[in-house]
Amino acid sequence: MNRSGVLVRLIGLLAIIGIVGTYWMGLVVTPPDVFQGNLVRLVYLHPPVAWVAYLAYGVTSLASIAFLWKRTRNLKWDRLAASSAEVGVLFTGLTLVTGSIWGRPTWGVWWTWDARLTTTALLFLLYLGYLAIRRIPGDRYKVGTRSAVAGLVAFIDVPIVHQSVVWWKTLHQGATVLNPSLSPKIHGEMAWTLLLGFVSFTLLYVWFTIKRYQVASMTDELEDVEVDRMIRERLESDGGVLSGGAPRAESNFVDGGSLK
Amino acid sequence: MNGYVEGGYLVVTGGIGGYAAWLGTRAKKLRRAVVVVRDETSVQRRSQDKS
Repeated sequence: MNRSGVLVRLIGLLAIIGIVGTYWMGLVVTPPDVFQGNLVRLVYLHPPVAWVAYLAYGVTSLASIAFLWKRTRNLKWDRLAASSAEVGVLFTGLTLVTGSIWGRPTWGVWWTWDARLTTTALLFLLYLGYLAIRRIPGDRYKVGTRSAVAGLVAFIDVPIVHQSVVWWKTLHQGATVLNPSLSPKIHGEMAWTLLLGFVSFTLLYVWFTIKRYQVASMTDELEDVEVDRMIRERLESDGGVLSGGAPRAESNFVDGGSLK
Repeated sequence: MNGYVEGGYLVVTGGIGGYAAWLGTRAKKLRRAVVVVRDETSVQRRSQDKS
C-alpha cells in the first residue's frame, strides 16, 4: 500500500476511534443536564453532524468554483464536488432525524415549520436536486458545469440555515458554540465531548469523501473504457480499418485519475 | 435512558455504518472491474502492436 493509502486508512481509524470515544463520553461519562436531563446527550451528535453538512457543502462550492474557473478546470474538481455533496446529503439527513428525535420530547412534536428546520429541510432538498442533476446524461464537462452552477446556487441556503435562529425568533435554540458573542454556553466535560464529536465527525467526513472520490474515479475510468469499446465495435462493424488501435474517446482522466 | 437518546445514537450509527458498507462494497466491485478492464486493454494493445 502506498503512503496516501496508509494516510486514508489512518484517517478512517482515527474517525472510528473518535466516534466511539464520543459515544462513550456522551452516554456514560457526562452527566444529565439540569434542564434537558438525558436528552442533552443528543447534543453531542446533532451539532457535529450538522457542522459536517455545512463543511461538505462548503467544499462542494469551492470545488465547483475551481471547476468553473478556466485556469483550474479539471474533472477532478467535479468529482470532488459531487463526492462531498453526497456525503453532505447523508449528514443533512442525519441532522434532520436527530433533530426530530430531540424535538419530540422537548417540543412535543416530531416536526414543526420552525425557520431552522424548514431551511435545513430545504437544504436537504436542494442538494438532493444537485445529485439528481448530476444523473442527467450528457457530455462529462457539460454535466460538470451545470452541476457546479447548481451547487453554488444551493450553497446560498447554508448561511441562511446558520443565521435562521438569529434572524427569526423561533423554537430552535440559538448557537451553543458559534454564537454572535463567541462565548460558548457549554463547559467542562460536556464541552470536551462536544469538541471530540466535532473532530471525529470531521475526520469521518474526510474519509468518506476520499473513498467516494475513489469510487467516482473508478466509475469514470470504466465508462471511458466502455466508450472506447463501443467506438471500436462500431468502426469494426462499419468495415473501418483499424491500425494502431481504435481512436480513443476524449478521456475523462484529464488528471490521470489521481487520489487512487 | 429514555428511548429517544438511544434512538438518536442508533440512527447516526446506522446511517454512517450503512453508507460506509455501501461505499466499501461498491469500491471493491469497481476495483475488481478496473483490474479486469486494465488487463484486457493491455492484452489488446499488445496484440495490436504485434500485428
